[in-house]
Parts: sequence; structure tokens; C-alpha cells
Amino acid sequence: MSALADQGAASAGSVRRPVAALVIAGLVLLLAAVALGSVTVGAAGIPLSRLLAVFGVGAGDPAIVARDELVLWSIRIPRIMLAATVGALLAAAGTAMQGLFRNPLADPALVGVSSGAALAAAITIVASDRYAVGRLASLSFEILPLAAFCGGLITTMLLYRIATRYSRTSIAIFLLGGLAIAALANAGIGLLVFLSDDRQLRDITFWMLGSLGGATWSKVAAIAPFLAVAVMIAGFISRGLDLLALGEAEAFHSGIAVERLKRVSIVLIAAATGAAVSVSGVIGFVGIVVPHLLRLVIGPGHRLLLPASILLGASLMMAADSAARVLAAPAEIPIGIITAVIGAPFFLYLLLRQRSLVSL
Amino acid sequence: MIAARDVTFRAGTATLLQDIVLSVAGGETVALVGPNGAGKSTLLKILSGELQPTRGDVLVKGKGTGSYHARDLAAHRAVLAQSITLTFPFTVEEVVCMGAGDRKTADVTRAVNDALTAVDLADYRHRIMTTLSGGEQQRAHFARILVQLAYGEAEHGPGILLLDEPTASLDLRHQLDLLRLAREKAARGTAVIAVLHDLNLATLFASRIVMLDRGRIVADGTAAETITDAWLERVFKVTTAVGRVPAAGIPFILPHSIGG
Repeated sequence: MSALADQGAASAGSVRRPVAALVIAGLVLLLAAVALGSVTVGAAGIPLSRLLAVFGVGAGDPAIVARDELVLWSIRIPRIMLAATVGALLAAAGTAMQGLFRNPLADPALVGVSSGAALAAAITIVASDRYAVGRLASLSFEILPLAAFCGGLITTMLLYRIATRYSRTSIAIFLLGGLAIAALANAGIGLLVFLSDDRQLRDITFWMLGSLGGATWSKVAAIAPFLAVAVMIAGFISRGLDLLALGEAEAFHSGIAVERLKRVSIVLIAAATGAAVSVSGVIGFVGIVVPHLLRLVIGPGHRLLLPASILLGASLMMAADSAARVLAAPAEIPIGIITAVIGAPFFLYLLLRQRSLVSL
Repeated sequence: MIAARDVTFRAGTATLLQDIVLSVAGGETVALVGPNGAGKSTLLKILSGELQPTRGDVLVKGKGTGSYHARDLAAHRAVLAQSITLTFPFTVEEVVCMGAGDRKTADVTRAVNDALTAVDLADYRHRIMTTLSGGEQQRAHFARILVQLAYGEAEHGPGILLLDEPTASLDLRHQLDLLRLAREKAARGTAVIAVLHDLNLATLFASRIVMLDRGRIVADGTAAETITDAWLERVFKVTTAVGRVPAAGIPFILPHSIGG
């Protein structure tokens, strides 16, 4: 009798984790479904039947097919690819950041890493325009992600130095330090936009609120390698991030080279954020919402969480971008507004739940 | 198995450890005892390789802790820390699995089951760690350490187990359970070193007691040699009556009064 009661007490609050392969398969299906949905909506709607005609299934009016083909291949599909890649990168950066800082409230846009990357990108645009009008200016698409990566790297390292003392990270100092870094970087961007007559910089909303407008295949190509690198690094750091959740000393006792883990994680965060920001400006909250939602379902183990975040981040960003294109069509809502409307209340909810952790 | 050679450790201007010479062989169970601030936990951190000594060195199986890769060192020695705060909602089973490193999950299941059974948490495997009591969490972490030790042992033979106040949050039964498990490890060749505050537990558990005071080793020997009225008065500044457990003949300590 008492054994039974004990068993009841022990199993109360038990958690069963879903099978990893099923999770990944489900997220891949979701990604495909969202991608398909995104292709059909926009300023020029392409219903499913006409979509099939473009791919040679069934017949259609040749003129409409030709127009749809143009819209799809030169505008819609590169944009969707860009949205997916940016979402995947931001989610990867957010997940890695939360693991590294052992803080579920971390997000690259929230703590100034995205702004730092954006500032570096803006400086590069202005500098290449002013001082190297010819060759470098035409290269700027290729070098922008690298410049943004450097900006992200500097801000992440700075943040780490500020927030970590005696191998402990203070969540409050981390958030407040990040706030200051973001304010400073945003002021820098504002100043550059104010001073610059470069048309690429003229639109401050691009940097501050983010946009996937003006997506091209060359932008996709410029950041795709960063996603490949992020996926590879993710596999390399996931076990270390799990053990880091126990604390730095425990991670070391369990065989993790902690300093190397931190360095590699910082590179991942900076590279993923920098690449995303260089083509889409600062888009917030993806990095915080995605890993948190996933943890509720699949648990916090990074071996599954990181790849799952990459997949869900891609889906979420495609969906948000579709909403940005559709809600005020033919105009476009800056995508950062959409992610903030969803993400900011979510962040507040997390903050209130963790209030004891954040207390100064 | 593990040896500290003339270890001195300074933090800023404070000397926390001074000329520590300590060598522990496989099969020994050593209790580090001493008053608060004597340097017990610091010594354990130095032995684990978490801190490097200011002077001197620590050899694990003949090689300096600083020259090991973290991963190799983890295969030779495991550490149970005093209090561990877990950031994310891992289950007990997931935490215990972490002890296996990146070994294939299929082989890990058995080691994890054995460890969970050993610490009496088999029914708790799917619980979220943070919903457990402090003592239950401590036992789960000990299970993780047992898994780490088991794999190290399978690959490199018996290793070293370092315990920092392992019994602090445990009830009496689980205190004894944990120390018994540690001693079983020692019986199979592991060198066990534990920081213990409870001197009576120390005498029950340890084959050898090392007493620290203000950063130095002041006594090192069997319980009968070290747990004496004279040493306790000198090191702990308390007047005690050391008795003997009738059957086993091991010393036990009873303070005369709480003073005042």
C-alpha cells in the first residue's frame, strides 16, 4: 500500500520526452507546409492551382504562367528562402545564447548583439560608399555578413565580460548591460543614417525593425554558408551546453573544455546573428520564443533543441514574413513589428515567471 | 593514484593552502576534516584540477592535472560538488545520462538504471530535477557521478572520486547509503576523498582522516590517531568527550556542552 503511494508520488509530475526522430520529422513537415503557404500569398497571390501550373502540373494560361513564374523565381522564392535562413540563424543564435549564458531570457536582438552587428554593417556600407566607390561597393553584399559577424562578435564578447564575474553570469546585469549596448549601437546606427546620403542606409526602419524586402538570390547565397557553419557548430557544442546547465565547474568535472566551449558558442552566436542582421536588419524575439516553445515539448537537451530550433525558427520566420506581406497588402509591415507583437508579451511573461532570478 | 606535491595556493594576498603534501592510493577512503575556512573545499578543487596551485602540483595517475585534456581527466576522476543549480528543466534521467558523456545511448541505459537504483531514485527518472527536494537532487547528481565513474573504470581501470560535503542535504539513511556506495567503490580500487563536516560520519566512513587547519595539514592518520580530545581541542577549539563505539571500536565524538 505504501509502496503504491510512493510510486504515485514519484510519478506525479513525471515528464515523457517525445522521440527525437519524430520531432525532427514533424518540424520538417511543418517547414514544408509553411513554405508552401508562403509561396501562395503576397501582393500577387498565386493560388495552389496556378502554382502547380508553374511546375508543369496541369495546364494554365501561358501568359499568367509566365508572370507567375517570374514572380515566384525572382521575388517570392528568394524571399522565402531568405526568411527561412534568417529565422533559422536567429533561432540558433538565441538557443546557443541561452545555453551559454545559462539564461532563458537571452535573445540576440534584446541584448544588443543584433544592434552591434547592424552598426558594423551600416559602417561598412557607408565606408565602402565613401572610400572605395568602385570595387568594394559592388562587393558589399558579400562582405556585409562578415562585417556584421565582427560587430556581433565584439558585442557578444563585451556582454560576456560585463555579465560574467567569477564564472557566474548575473541575469540582471546581463539584461541591463545588453540594454546599454543596444542603446549605444542604435544611436550609432541613427547617426549614420542621419549623416549618410547613401540610399542603402536611408531607410532606418530597415535596421531598427527589420525587413525581408529586397530579397535576392545573392543575399540568400551570401548568408547560406553561415547557416551551414551554424548547423555544424551546433552539433559540436550541444553536449557541452547541456553540461554547462549544471554550472561551469561541473561541466569541467564532466570532461568539457569549458573555455573552448564558450569561445565556439560565442562565434556561433555572432556568426548567426551577424549573417541574419546583414540581410534583414534587427528582428527581435525569434531567438527567445522558439527555444522556449520547444523546451516545453521536447525538453532542454541541446542535441535535439538546437536542430529543432533551427527548423522551427525557419518556419516561424516564414509565417511572420507572410503575415508582414499580407496584413496590409499591398504595403508591407516591417517584420520586426510582427515578431515584437508576438515576442514581447511572451518575454514579459517569462520575465515575471523568473522574477526571483532577476532580482538585483 | 592522486598526489599533491608541496601545494600552495594563494588567492590575492591570502594563502588558502600551504605546503600540502598528500598522497592517496586506490582503495583508500580519506575524509578531509577541519573547521570552516580551513581550506578543505579549496584543496578538493585543487585535487580535481578545477584550480591550479600557485606552487607545487597535483598528479593524477602520475600526470599533472594541468596537462590533461578535460575529457581525459573526467575519465580518471569524478567530482560531486556541494550544491548545484540547474538552469533548464532537465529530468532526473537526463541529468544522470550526462555522466556518460557522449557514449552511445543504447549502452548508457543500463549504467543509468544501475545508478538510479543505487541512489534509490528509480521511480523518479522522469521527474523534472527542480521539482525534487534538495536531498533528492543531490542523490541524482551522485547517480550521475556513479555513471561517470563506471565508464571511466571500464575504460581506464579504477579512478578517483572526490566528494565535497556529499551528505550535507541528505537524511540519515541516505547519508549512510551514499557513504556506503562510495566505500564500495573504494573496495574495488577507487581512491575516495570526501570533505566531511560530521566527524562521526567521517570516522564511520574513512580509512584515513586528514585534518586541516588554516590551510595546512595538521594531522593525517587513522580515526583512532586523529579523532582525539587533544586534536579536536587544538583544531576545532571545542572540548569533547571522544568515546568508542562498543562493537567496532571506532571513535565517536560528543561535545561537552554548547558552551555559554
